[in-house]
Amino acid sequence: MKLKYGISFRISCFLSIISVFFANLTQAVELNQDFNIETLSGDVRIIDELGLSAVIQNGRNDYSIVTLTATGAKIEPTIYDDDYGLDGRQLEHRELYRHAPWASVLETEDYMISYEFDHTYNWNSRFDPSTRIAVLNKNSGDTQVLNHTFTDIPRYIEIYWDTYLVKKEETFYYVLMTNTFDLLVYTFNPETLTLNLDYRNSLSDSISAHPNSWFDLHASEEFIYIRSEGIEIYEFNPATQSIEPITIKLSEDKSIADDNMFAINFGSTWFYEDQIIFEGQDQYYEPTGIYHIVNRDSGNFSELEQPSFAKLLEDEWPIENHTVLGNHFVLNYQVTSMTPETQFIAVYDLETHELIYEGSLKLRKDQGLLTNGWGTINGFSVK
Amino acid sequence: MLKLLTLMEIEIKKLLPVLIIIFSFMTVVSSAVFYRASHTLNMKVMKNLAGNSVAEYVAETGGVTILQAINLSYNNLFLLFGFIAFVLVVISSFYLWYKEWFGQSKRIYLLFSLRGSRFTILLAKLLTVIGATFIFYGMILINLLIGWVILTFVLPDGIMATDPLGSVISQATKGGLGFSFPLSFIDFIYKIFLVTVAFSGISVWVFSDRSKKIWGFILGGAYCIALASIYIGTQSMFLFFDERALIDWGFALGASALSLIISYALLNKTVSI
Repeated sequence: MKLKYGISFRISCFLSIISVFFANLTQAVELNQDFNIETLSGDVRIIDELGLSAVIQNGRNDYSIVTLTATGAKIEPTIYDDDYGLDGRQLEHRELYRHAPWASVLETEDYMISYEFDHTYNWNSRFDPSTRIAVLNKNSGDTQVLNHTFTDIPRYIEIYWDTYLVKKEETFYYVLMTNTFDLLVYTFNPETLTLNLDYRNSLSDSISAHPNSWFDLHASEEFIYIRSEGIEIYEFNPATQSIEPITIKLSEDKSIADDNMFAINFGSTWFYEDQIIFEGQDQYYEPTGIYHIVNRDSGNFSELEQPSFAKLLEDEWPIENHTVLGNHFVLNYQVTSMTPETQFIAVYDLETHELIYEGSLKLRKDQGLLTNGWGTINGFSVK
Repeated sequence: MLKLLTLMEIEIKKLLPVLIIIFSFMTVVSSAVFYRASHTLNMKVMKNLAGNSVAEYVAETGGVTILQAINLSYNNLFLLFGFIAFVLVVISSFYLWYKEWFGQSKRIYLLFSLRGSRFTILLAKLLTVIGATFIFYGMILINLLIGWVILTFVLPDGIMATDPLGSVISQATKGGLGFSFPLSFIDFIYKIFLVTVAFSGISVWVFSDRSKKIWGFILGGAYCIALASIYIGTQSMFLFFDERALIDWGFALGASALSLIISYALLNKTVSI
């Protein structure tokens, strides 16, 4: 019998295994670890307080968390689950994220509580509306999970908006709004894992100033906010079940009585303790949103200074996100279309409403930053 | 041992045309994907280069890597490799067994009448399929190198990163290249067991079919479907990466052992000459 087939096959196998071996020996491309942030204005030391971080892959199974500092970057090894995008910080409390890797988390002195409403029920009439709440008791270290089915919400009612868990006067409230603008508030006991309907009200009836209005639901740590038509804001206190309007004092040139009030199109609204932040976009004309802050108690309305790099972002369609850390409002713009990909950061002081820091950071392809399959690098954010 | 080597020689000769067809198809499609991605990448790079030299671009952003081209193709290349891996193992397993029965010579009767354990026949075919999988790994590396050459020709001189495979291998994920290519020694062993599960599961089907005709075909098919369902079931469980490793290994070891034992029993007791 001719042996040439067997010999060539075996040589091919051998060469392949050797190639696989050497390919696997290939350690990460020498990673560029130049994560220095370039200060455009302000004191760079503020970066130390923000803790902006990203995960890099520095080997096939090796990951690190890079945290930006004023003088460079701190790189610490971590574990990382690339199916769910969770790093060691979340996997330390993995039961909070099981079956709900993108759950919202409310952290108090005694508990870490993750919650995620199952929105799939909106599109599948076989499901009842349900939510998953997982409670980590920090004192005992135990995690308990509640999968609650809402028997008091008919299947034909839909729930599009985010649901919220807030803590007010030592009681946890779980709040949701239906597509018929019914506000439902449940009390949640993290020890017994019980969720009881506490309050149900039709917003269309209770906010009679806008009988045919649409409503939007938001939350801070303690209060629920209802936004109606433009910038009408109502504060709902789950403990007292009262709905109070918040008066916003617009400046002269942006009077609410002015016919041009919709020249400012308020795209999104966020609430932080005593501040309400609007992202206003002058429809399609502004390269980035202009942010406006309202002091909830005084009602004073002020426009935040646009960062100096805003002009650079014209026509770039940056990925934009923001966060509040203590007394700072942090704006992040990630510009994938720039070469190299660049992240811009602006930090505001929430008391004075002043822009106190601007910086930029180059996100190079050779730094090991994780990609999301479309080639977009995940930039640095606050965890 | 001599019997095993001789039998493998026969299997390899039978399988070579199948391998040539599959790997040629894979290389053509992979090259086409790279060619298309390289043009898209070139347009992007030219736009970004505007006014700068290639050296400045590389200094500023790092060299272009194969991974960027693969990302631009929406990871179709990894899907192709996964598809080829599946086709290679399944087609090879069925082909190597049924050709014995349905060929003109009906060589299976000759094989069964040879001295020694009948299990050697199965082992020869299994080792051949595993060998074909090793060659498949080599073909993946060759295809990536071809992609690198295509990118080097299409993109401006000096813009490619110097390490052709570094970015793909070192930043490979389990769901991307890792689905079809071993990313560590442990993963290499795991994938050998997965191939063993597929081959021995199909062997159970073939032996059942050859033993009991219609009922054997149905029961053997049900066994394979059950194995596939369990595998898909374990893959769709919500597990974090370290927990998943335990389940994956449990399945690979358990299912391969069970299928090999059933195959052994069917081969020696039930399948008639």
